[in-house]
Amino acid sequence: MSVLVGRDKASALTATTWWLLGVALALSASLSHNALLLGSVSFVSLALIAVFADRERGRTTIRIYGTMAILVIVLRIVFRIVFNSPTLDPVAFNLPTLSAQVGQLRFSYLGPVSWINLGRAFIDGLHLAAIILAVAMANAVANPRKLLRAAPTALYEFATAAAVALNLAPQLVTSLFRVRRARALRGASSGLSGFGGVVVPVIEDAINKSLELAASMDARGFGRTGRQKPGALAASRAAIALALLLMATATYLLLAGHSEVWLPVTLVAIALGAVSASMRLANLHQVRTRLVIQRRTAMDILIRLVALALLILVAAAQLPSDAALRWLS
Amino acid sequence: MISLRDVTFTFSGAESPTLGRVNLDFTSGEFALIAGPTGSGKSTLLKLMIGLAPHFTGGSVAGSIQIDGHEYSGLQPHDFASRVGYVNQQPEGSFVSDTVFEELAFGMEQLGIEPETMRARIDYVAETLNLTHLLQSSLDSLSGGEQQRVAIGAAIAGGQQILLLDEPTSALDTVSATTLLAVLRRLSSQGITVIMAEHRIERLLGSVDSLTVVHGDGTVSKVKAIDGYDQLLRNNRMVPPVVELGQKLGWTPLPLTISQAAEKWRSEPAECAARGGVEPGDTVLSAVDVSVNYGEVKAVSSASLSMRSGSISALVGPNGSGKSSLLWALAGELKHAGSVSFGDGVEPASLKPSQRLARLAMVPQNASDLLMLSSVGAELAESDAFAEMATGTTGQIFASLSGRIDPKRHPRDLSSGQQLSLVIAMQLAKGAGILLLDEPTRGLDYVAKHRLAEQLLSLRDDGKAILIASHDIEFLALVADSCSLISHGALAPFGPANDVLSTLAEHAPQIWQVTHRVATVAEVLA
Repeated sequence: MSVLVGRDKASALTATTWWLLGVALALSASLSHNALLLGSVSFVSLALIAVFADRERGRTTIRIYGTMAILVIVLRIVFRIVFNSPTLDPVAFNLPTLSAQVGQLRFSYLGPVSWINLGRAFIDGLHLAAIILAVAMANAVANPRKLLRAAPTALYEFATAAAVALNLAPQLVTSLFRVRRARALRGASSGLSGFGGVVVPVIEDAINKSLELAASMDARGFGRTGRQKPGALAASRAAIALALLLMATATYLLLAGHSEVWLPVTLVAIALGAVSASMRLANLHQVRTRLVIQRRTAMDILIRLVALALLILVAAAQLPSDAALRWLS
Repeated sequence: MISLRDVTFTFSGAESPTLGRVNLDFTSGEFALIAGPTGSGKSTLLKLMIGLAPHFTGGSVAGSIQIDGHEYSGLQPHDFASRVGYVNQQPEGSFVSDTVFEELAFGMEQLGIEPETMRARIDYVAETLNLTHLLQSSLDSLSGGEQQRVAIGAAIAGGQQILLLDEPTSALDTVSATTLLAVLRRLSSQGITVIMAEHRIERLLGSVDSLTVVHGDGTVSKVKAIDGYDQLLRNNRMVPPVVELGQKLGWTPLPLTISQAAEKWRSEPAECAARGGVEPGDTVLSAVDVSVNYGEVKAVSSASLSMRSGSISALVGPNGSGKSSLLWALAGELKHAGSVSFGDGVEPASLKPSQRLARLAMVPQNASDLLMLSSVGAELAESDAFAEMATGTTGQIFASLSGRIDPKRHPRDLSSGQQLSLVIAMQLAKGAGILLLDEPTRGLDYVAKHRLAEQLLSLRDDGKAILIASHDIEFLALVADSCSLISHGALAPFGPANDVLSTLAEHAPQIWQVTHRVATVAEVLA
């Protein structure tokens, strides 16, 4: 039995698919320093928000995360201009060089700014901006709470922690708006950093709200384990913990680029095995039932495969041996 | 049904227990009210009955909690979930889904109920709570009262026989609250034990089966309606207006409802001295044809009003009627059509906050949003510095509003009433003659409300022009000189407060409904 729900455009795909896509885009951006790829990730994310997100939610997301993305790029460029390293490349514009001597160390700031340095700074900024926008896309299109509903029982503890954390970001945004609006009524003296004053109530508020959500879910039975043998429960949790550890190690190895390819790949394979074993164990004593199911469609599978392919392609392009894909990195 | 035996609960780091050796029994189908001052431990008592205390609040618990004779002490909230449903103060914050249907199903899915049964239960619950037409609606699109009913439905859909509600009516306007109350009554008559904690009890006292008072010193007393609440309420200050009237006139037994009081009043009427009208001063703020739109939604349509010094006016209306939007527009912080100007023609929106605060101050719904420093003393000093006033200016206003408070205390540790006084003092430091208050009594108990009323009246006597947006009729009856009803963004003309409030029929101030001459207990002579 299932009921198809949701009349919004975003329900063309399941929440899980949206988040897998978001994570794949973010990971691809984090692996690459290619301007074309980073630009595409940013553009695709924004386009998906514009098309699929609920209007109000989309507008808020673009305003907040878009500002954040632009800020990151601008900051990178400003830092590069201030903490300039002199080059022989064509100079874009000249600024006076300031130097300071601290003990034996000599620091110099500003000076002639080259096009190459500006370009690098821009790509550095774009690198982070693309990651921010990819996550913003998933957040805007598929409420993280939906993801939580779909989480398998075996992942309960991690899912709750993740839900609280994921819910924190949008909650922060909501609280930020409210507090900033209220703050405008009071004003602040020049001696007081407006930033610090806003941050405390906003974070307090957002954390409280997130915990409230977790408490309410627990009170409604989320996390019941049923008549599971304590041994099986412990084994299933241990397997999940192991899988997470392996995944983290594999990611590190891959990003650090210190190892051969086979090692992270093997680790990921073992991790996937551990996850499926854990789910098998937990599902032996399934206590939950489902009434509201959004079925995976062929489109879901397709998008997930495309996301995976993109990730593999970008990851492969990072490997020094693979010259054929050099153009990507 | 559910019993507490010698239950003691202590927050970690607290010197004395919030609840000490509490013994309580709630029977099947009981409609129970837990009352007491804010911060006395009402919510904690509810949370103990579903395991949220101590599992989500921290702290330590002793004693035993039993449901139908089964021991539940020490269990997690999800172990209680099949027997107990819980609805917290802000239900919208606890929603997990997008639509009403999904939300009602969520709890049952966790409990492992068969899909066929779930479907039937959802139909049944939707029918009982009058949600059938909303099943496919998005949760965001619902009104506060509807959200509250969805949360209740979700809490009992799995066949839970105990329903706990934390302040279910305090954020609701009168009409939604009345509807909700009828629904809860129906549930209890179907055998569900309904236990609610609430500090706004004027609408509840007459219809509940029992009253449990959490005194705030760790003790708790419970009395059944048939045994009478007289002993519990006789010298209690935390009581609604009709009970206060009974206390003042020495009536025995104390009236709990308007009809009881009205009957007694007919046989023993007392003298009344209506409050003298005030002579308002000059017009200090006027708004002409103010409209506020959010996209296609009209929040306020062509509202016109004027505020005069030395008077308190009130905007009365249900949730979502446009009260807040109008206030924000008047404060110059919300884009609007039409004009808002001070007596000399200057527009609030054209001024910087520092200049504006010399003329107009606003306190928003969440007053604590304005508090940002780590001690009361620092807040006061910052306020003086920003207002460019002599050191101690804000402190003086604050002291006159709420008495001396240790300046080393953290603002977030103050009670809601004290926080509100602090924010009012800060906002008035620069000598603003106009004060706008949005829903100021949210979270205040009866004593705190009386204190706030005194503060506002003394500010009025100092010549301030005050505008309050609220749906708390009893509070407005205490302070307002003139009132206007607002609904769907349209403002009715202002009139004398008693005339306007008395047109609200069954929602008029309790004392008005009893005496038909005055609206507050103070105006009735003992």
